[in-house]
This record gives sequence, structure tokens and C-alpha cells, in this order.
Amino acid sequence: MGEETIIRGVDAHKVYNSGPVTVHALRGVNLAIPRGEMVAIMGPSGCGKTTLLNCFSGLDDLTSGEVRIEGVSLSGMNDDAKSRYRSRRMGFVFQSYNLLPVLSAAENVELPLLVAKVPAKEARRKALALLGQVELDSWAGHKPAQLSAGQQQRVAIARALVNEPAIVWADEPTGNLDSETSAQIMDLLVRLNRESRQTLVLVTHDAIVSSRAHRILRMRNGQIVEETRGG
Amino acid sequence: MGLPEDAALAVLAGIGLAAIVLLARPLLARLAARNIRRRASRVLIVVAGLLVGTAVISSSLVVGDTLRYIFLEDVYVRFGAVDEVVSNEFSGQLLSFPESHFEGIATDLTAAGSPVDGVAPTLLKVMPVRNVVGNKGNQQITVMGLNASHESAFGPLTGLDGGALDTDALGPTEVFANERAAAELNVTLGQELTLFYGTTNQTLVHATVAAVVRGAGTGSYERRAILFMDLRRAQAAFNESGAINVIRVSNVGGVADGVALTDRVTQDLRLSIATRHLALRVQDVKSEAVAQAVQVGRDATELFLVMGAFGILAGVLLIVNIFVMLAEERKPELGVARALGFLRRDLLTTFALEGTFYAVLAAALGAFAGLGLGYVMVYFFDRLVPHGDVPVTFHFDPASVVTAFVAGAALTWVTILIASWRVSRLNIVRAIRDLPQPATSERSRGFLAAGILVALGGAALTAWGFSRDTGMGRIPGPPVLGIGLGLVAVSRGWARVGLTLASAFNLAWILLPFGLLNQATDSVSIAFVMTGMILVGSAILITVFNVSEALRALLRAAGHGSGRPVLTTAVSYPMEKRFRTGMTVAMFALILFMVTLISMVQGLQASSIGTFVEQQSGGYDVIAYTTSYGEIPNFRTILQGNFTNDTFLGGWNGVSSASVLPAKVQAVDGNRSYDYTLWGVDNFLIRSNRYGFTSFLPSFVNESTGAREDLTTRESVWLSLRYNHTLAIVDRSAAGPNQFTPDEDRLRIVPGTRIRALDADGRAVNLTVVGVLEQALQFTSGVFVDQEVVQTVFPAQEQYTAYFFQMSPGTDIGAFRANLERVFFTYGLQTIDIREEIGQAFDASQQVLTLMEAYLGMGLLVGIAGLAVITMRAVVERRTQIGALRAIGFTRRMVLSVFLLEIALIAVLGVGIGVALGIVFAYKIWAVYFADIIRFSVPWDRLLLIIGLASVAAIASTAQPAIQASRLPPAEALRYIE
Repeated sequence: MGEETIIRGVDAHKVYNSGPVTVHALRGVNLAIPRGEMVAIMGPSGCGKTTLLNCFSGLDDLTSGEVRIEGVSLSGMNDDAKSRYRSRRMGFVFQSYNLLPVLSAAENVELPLLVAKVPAKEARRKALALLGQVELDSWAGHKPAQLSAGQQQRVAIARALVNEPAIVWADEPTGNLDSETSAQIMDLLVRLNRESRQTLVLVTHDAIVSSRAHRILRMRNGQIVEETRGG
Repeated sequence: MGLPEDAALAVLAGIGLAAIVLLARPLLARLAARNIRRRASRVLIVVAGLLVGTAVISSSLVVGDTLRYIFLEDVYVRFGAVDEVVSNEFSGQLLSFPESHFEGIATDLTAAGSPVDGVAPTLLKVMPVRNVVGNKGNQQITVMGLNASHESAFGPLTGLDGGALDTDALGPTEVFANERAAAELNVTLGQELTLFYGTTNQTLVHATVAAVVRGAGTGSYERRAILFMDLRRAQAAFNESGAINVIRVSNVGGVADGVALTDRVTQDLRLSIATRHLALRVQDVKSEAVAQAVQVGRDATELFLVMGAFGILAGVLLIVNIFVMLAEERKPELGVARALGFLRRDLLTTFALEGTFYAVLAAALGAFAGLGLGYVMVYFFDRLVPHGDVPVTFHFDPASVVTAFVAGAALTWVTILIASWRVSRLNIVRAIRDLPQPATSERSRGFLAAGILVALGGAALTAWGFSRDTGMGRIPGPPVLGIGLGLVAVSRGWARVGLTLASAFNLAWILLPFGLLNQATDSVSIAFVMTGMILVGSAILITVFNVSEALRALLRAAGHGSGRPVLTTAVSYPMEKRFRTGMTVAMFALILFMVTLISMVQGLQASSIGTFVEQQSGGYDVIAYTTSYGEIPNFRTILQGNFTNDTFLGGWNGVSSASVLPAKVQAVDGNRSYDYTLWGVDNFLIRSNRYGFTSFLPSFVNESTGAREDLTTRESVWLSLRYNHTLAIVDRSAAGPNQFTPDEDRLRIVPGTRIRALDADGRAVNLTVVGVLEQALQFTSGVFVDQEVVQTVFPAQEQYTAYFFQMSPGTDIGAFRANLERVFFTYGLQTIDIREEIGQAFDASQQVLTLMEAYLGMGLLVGIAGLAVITMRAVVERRTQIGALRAIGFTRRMVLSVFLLEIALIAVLGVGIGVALGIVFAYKIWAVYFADIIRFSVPWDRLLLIIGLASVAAIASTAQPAIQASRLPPAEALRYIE
């Protein structure tokens, strides 16, 4: 792992107003993640781990505090700038895969490249190459409804990696998978992390999954309360 | 208009059932009520879309009610207490008969106990009248000679002060003038009028206006401008001593009620006439006019219903679409409900209860909205459509509003029931997990069974259509058969190929250039609606199964571009939801199909008006004719004394004339005679007219030389009349019905047929048809012979003269007409500007078509509502996907663009299909019916305006959900659970 800090959060607070109820989802989180590290964030439901992922990736805004990605403050960017940054420097893997059901596997994977204005032929070539890496090259033309849960998640992973992001954010990537498939997915993520040296931040409640990370952060009530080394 | 009993019973049954269910299953009722309250904005859109169908029905009925009412009122004003008329009418001319006939008939009616309360002798003449002092004249003033002692049943003549007036009290030179005559003649009490009766040996009658009569009862007889005289005075003035020409009969009962006794009274009158061997005829004038007025109302309702049928159809599609999407939205909760123990019929009942609410509310609102729409239509009808002296007032029968409510509610409710049944048949586990329903063998068997049934139905329809020579079978039969086979293909997994081929066949079947309709027996309205449905439905099927491939191919060819990810996403979604997309596209296509068709007709008319006017006018600008019988003496001398020859094209050769005679014409070997106008055309007219022929004989025998001469040109056919007085030319109606001549009572003959023309006294001339004209309209309707034939065979007093003028370029036609009428006023000469006459009819037609377009455009509301509903649904369904798109880098604008492009794709597809089919179908109509009359053209400017307006309206109205979607924060979208 390199020493360069790619993700830095300082005194990050996030408060939601949900009708009459105020939720303090993040309470002064401080976090530094070096490039290439695989970090697992764990904690009970409602502890703020997904909120942390959303705010640190720019999908949501902090109420106060600062997040810097590759030295650039997210709060200084407008919405379009954050979107463009995400398209070039970040990848996302969701629990429910969130593939576009109307596009084929290849079309889903190439979409971030098209957003980044990569020429269509090149985007397709890269997409097929990624699908090969996740062992789905023969399923490139299939729609998500024609794929198993594990296959869909692998497509989602390929989509997350196709633009060679600096950071991959994964929210419960194995949450909807059986144990065997979960293990396969984690093998894939770990392998890609080792090979490509992309920073991987994943949110999970599964101890087996988190054990594969370099570092495990435990959260409770919007704060990081414990930090341990993984396997 | 009575209630459609079946529909009323169905709705009452439905409401009753709903009430029973509400009481028996309060849980289901509560669920239905909560679902309705769930999304108020959705309810508003649903109801707005659903009420359009009812509004169309309601407005159609209300317009029919208004027209029926105003024309009925006109009948009562025109005829007053007169129910029947006895006369010796011959082709519109009233011939005189002895007054003793009246006495005999009156006696017979009394003896028979006929239910009449008045029988009155009348002498009715039409002549020019001039008010010298008031400096006004009118060629068409009616003079009625009344016998006051027989007028009591017909109501008194009433003065403007309300006092009763009696023709018995008139002095020897006095007349009463009704309000219309007083206005036409600019007359006041005591002023002298000059009545010009006849042309040859014209009689001048001087009269003083003793009073002005109110335009009511006899005072407004047939809405004429009338001068009333004592009968004896009139008989003396017009040399008709002891003669009358009309017997007016009033039945017992009021102005409206008496018509119920018409059959009995008519029978009694005919018996009297037959017994006494009188040359008289009975006309049940009021009964006929009432029937016509009622028919006008019916025709108007039918026209508006046909126009609105596509809007109603679009409304049905909207209902289906809405309920299918409601079901998709609630699939997980429906699955849970089934898991908890709800039966399928409980789901059906819940949806049906919810649907009942929508149906009743939408139908009620729509029925009243239709009142407003009907009012607007009547308002524009009053301003745009010529309706003579008939005042237009909005009127509706409350039963029509109820009928519309019943029909609209029934239509909505039945559609909802069918959609709800479909919804209730879900797989519980897949529903809970919100997974798509798989193709099962049960579904395949269902398609196979449906396909076979539909195919058999189509085959039966086809066989019936061809065996009975009816378009009602020929038009839908083969398409239904095709769709049936397509469904069979679906059951085998070949949906795309099967339905595409079936639809292509259907399009070809309808659009091939041969007529499927039997014009004599088929209902054109029903045929038209069927045709539209088949065309649009087939085009939609081809589109939803094939357009995504075409679009993807286009995208691949387009290479890279910054809009590519947006395009890729936008294009893919609509084509995945084929049913939903197809329904919404169809909503637009149906309406735009009709709007385009009307626009095409307007365009065809407009582009061809010049040619049409030229054809109809035959090269003439003005036609003048006398109202009195006979020929104007020294016509050309008087004309030359008042006009210069450079006024006319070709000098005095530009003035032609025809001796005109109402006649009966029959084929020599036939036994049926028809009313025709016999035109005896002079040499100038023969040589100067530009009327053409559909067919003519190859040769004729010149009576002067005895030689047979070839007929090769239009001019030679006309000239043959001059050289052979046994020849005649007949108008286009002889060739059978066409777009201008319906299949009604006319001679069916070809060149070479021998015919006989007779007058009222049986004087006859035998003729051979040498040619059949291209036209049968306005100035070219009748039988044409040389003028000498008419003048030698028939007496002068039976004829009137028509004059044809070809004007020099630049001549002020209005001034010429005014001068001509002034010069020949005493002869009752009236003039027509041919181009103006045709132009006015054309303008009225164009405006009516514009009115129809606007009426149809309302149906677009349905399409817009449909698009709004599916957009709102799409935003909800794809909320997490929106989050994913934002996560991978889609900006807000890109998300907005995806949705707007989807909306635009659906709207443009619908609009494009509708417009394209409208143009193609208009071409077919033109090719079959109008190709020899007018040139085909497409009014691109108008169509582009329609396309633009419809598309922009659709997109603008449905953009709000798309804007909302684009503004969703990514994190919020991602954590959304529906």
C-alpha cells in the first residue's frame, strides 16, 4: 500500500431532518484512507455506515466538516462537477446491484465510459475486457433479468471498475447473495484490489467479508469507535 | 333521446353491486378508499383522462339536441298551424286549380270526421315588388291571397301593436306586409308598392301598405317576405278568377301536437282527391319537415360521435394503461395480500371498487364538461356554418347528459373490470419479490386458444363479408384473421415475427387501392372507425416490436457523442415496456390520424379550389335568371343599351342564355320518371361553355346534311345538340353515385340511351343521350338540349330564362350584378356570382373542418394524461436506477434529458404514426374517389404545425415528473423503497 492519503474526512457531520425527527447520522467522523487500501466499515443498522459512504463519495452532502478526495474538497464542487468527478474517478457497487434492467451486461458496463465521453468502440472493447475479467464474457449480451444474482453483482463490479477509478465504493456488495456466491464476489474484489491497487471502501455487516479487508472500522451512533486490522 | 336501457341497467347493477360489497366487505372498501387517497395528484390525472371519453359522448348528444331543437323550432315557425298542403305542384311550380276543389275537399273531410280544425284556400304567387318611395325592391316577394273566413284555425294576422288584422277589412288597393317584407322593401305604413306579375304581358299591381304584420303564425309562413291580400282581390289582380293554387290544412291540436294526426288526415285527403278525380297532390309538409329536423340532429350527433370515436378509444386505452400500472405499482403488496389469504376475487373486487369511484366521478364530470364543449361547438357552428334564417340557441335534453354519464361510466367500468381481472391473476411469490411474471405453459396455451378463436372469428367475418358484399365483413375480417394467426405465433414464442407480419398484412389490406365498402348499404361511419382502428393498431404493433432495433442500429452507426449515454438509456426503456408504450403511442396516433385526415381534406380542397371553380363554372362568371316564367322580351337590346360590349369576354358573344323548364324525365323503356331541369341552351352557350364529359357517343347524324359525323372533342359533342335536335346531354348523376352524387333517385343511363322529357300537361319530347357530363353540381344539373327544342315543344309560360355571362378581366362583378338586377328588376331577374357562390360553400366547408379539428384535438388530452401517468410511474419505478446513474456520473441535466427523450420518443412516435397513416389513408380516399376531380397534395405547413404543437404540448405537460427525477439527490434515490 502506498502512503498517499486518497480519502480524508475531517470532523464530518451529517444531520437529516425526517419530518419532526432530527437524525444525527454522522457525528464528527475523522477518517484517512491511503491509496490502494481495502477498508471495511461495519456496524449495526442505523449506525451511519451507508451515510458515511454516501457523503464521502459525494452522493450526499455533509452538514459540516470536510471531505477531500485526492486532495480535492468535495464541498467546493457543484453538483455537475461532483458528477463528472464520479464518472472519472469513482466506481460504485450496490447491494441491489442497481443495473439498468433494459440494457445488456455489456451496455451496463460501458455506460460509465460513455458518460466520460470515451468513444463507443473503445468503451465496448473495455467493457468486454472487464466482463472477461469477471468471467462473464459469454454473457455480455444478456440482460440482468437473464443473469443470476452472483452474475449480476459481477456485472456491477465490472461496471464499477471499467473506468479505472481511483476509488471503489461498495455498499453491502454481498448483502443479497448466498454464502458461496458472497465468497466468490469477495475473492473477485480482493483480487482486483490487489491487481489494480484501487482503493476499496466497502460497507458490510458480514464479519467474514470484513475479514478480507486490510482495515476494519466499526461505527456506532455516527462515530467510528474502533479500528482493527483485517486479514 | 332516451336512455340506453342496457347500459343504464348495467351501471345501476354495478353501483348496486358496489354498494352491496361496501356493506358486506368493509375491509376491501377501506383498502380501495386508502388507495384512492394515496396519491391525490394521480387521481386528478386519471380522472382528467377518463372524463374525456364521456365529454365526447355528452357533447355529441348535446350538439344533436341543439340542432334538432333549432330546426324543429324553425319548422314550427315556418309552418305554424299548417300540417298538410294540397296543391298541383309540378317540379316546384304551383299550378292553379278551381276553388271549387277546395269546397269539395272541405266537405269530404267534415263528412269523414277527419281530425282537422281548419282548411283554407290560398292563392300564392312570387313576383318582383318595388317600393318607389323607399327606393328598394325585391325580386322574390310572396303574395298570399287569404279568405279570412277560413283562417281562424291558422291564427290571426297580428299587427305590431298586437291587434288582430283581417284581410277582409283591407281596402281594394291595400295589403298587409309582414315584417320581413317590410324590411326587404323598406316600407312604412301608407307607402305604395308596385307588384310586377309575369314577364310577357306583365301585369302591374299597385298596392298600399295598410299595416305591418308580426312574423308569427301565418305572418311567417315558410319565413318568406309576404304581402297579404284578400283572396278575391288577389284573384282579380292576377287574372286567376275562381282559382287558387294551395289548400292549407290544420290538424286538431297545437302547432306541434297536430302532426301526430298527419297519417289519418293525409289518408282522408287522398281519398277525397281520388274520389273526385282531382289532379292534386297532398304533402304532409310539417311531418316531413319535423322528420328532417330530427334527422339533422341525429346526423350531427353521429358526425360528432364518429369524430370523437377515436378520442373515446384513446380513453379506453388510457384506462387499461392506468390500471395495469396501478397493478404493477402494488404488485408486492398484492402478493402479500394473497399470501395472507385474500382470494383472487378479493383483489379483483378491490380494484373494481376503486375503479367504480373513478368511473362514476369521471363520467359525472365528463358529462358536464361535455355540456360546456357542446356549447362551444354550437357557438362556432352559429358563426361558421351557413344556416339561413334559423336562429341558433343552445339547447340540451337533460336525458342526453344522463345518457352520456351512463355510457361513459359503463365504458370505463367494463374496461376497469377486464383490467382488474388481469391484475388478479398474479404469482404470489414473484409478486412479493417484484419479479416479472414468467412465460408459462399456461400463458402459451392461453395465447394459442385466443389466437385460434380470433382467427376463426376473422375467417367467419371474411366469409360473411364477401358472400354478402358488405364492407362490415370485408374490412375487419382479414385483419382479425391475421391477428389471430399472430397470436398463435406468440404462443410459439415468435411474437415479433408473427405480429409484425400480421400487422404488415393488415396495413396492406386497408391501404390497397381498391374499395372494400359497399356504398349502397354499408355504414360509412362504422367503416371509417374500424379502418382507423386497424390502421393505427397495426402500425403500433410493428413499431413496438421493431423500432428498438432500428434505433439501436442508428445509435451504433452514430459513433460517439456526448449525448450517447443519454440516448442509449432513453431509447431502451420505452421499448422494454411494450404494452405500456404501445398503449400510450396509440393514444396519440388515434387522434393525430383523424386530425391529419381532416387537415388533408382541407388541404386538398384548398389546393384545388381554383380548378374546381373553373370546372363548375364552365367558364362563366355570372348567372342570372328570372323568377317569373317566360322570356325577357328584347333582352339583348336592353342589355346593349345599358352595358358596353367590352364588359363581356368576346363582346356580346360572352352572353348566353338557356330556356329552362322543370320536367319529368324517364328512360323510354322505363316506367319511372324523375324530376329534372331541362335546359334549352342557345348557340352562344353551346360554343362558349367549358364543361367536359365522362363519356359520349363516337358519332352522330347531322340532321341538316344527313351525314354521320365523328365526335372526338368536347366542343363537337356540344355542337351536336345544334345540328341534331333529338340529342341531349345529361349530368354526371346518370353515371351512378360518386363523391358528389349519392345513390339516390336519378336516371342511370349511358350515351345512346333514349329518354323522354315531359311537362305537367304531358307534352313530351323523345331524346337520345349523346354525352354524360363530368359534373352534377349546382349549375350543371339536368338535361341539356338545343334551345329550339324547349321553345317549340313546351309553352313559353312554363319556362324561365337563365342568362350566362363571361366577364372581361378586371370587371367589377359586384357592380355588374347590381346594375343588371336594377335594369331588369321588373322581370324579377336575380344574379349569382358563380365563383363567390362556390367560394362561400368552400369557406364554410373549410371552417367546419377546422371546427372538427379543434374538437378532435381535445382527444389529445387523453394522450397527454397517458404520458403523464407513465412518466410519473417511470420515475417511481426507476428511482434507485436514477441513483445509480447519478452515482456513475450522470448529471442532473443528463437524467432530465433521459426522461424528456423518452417522453419525446413516445409522443413523436404516436404523432408520427398518426400523421403518416392520415396522409396515406387520405391518399387512398383521393385515389378511389377524387383522382379525376382534384390534384393530390400534402399541406406540409399545416401538418408540421400540428405535429409541432402536439409534440410540444405533450412534452411540456409531462415534463414535471422528469424535472423532479433529475433533482433527486443520489443518496436519497438509492435508499428509496417504494
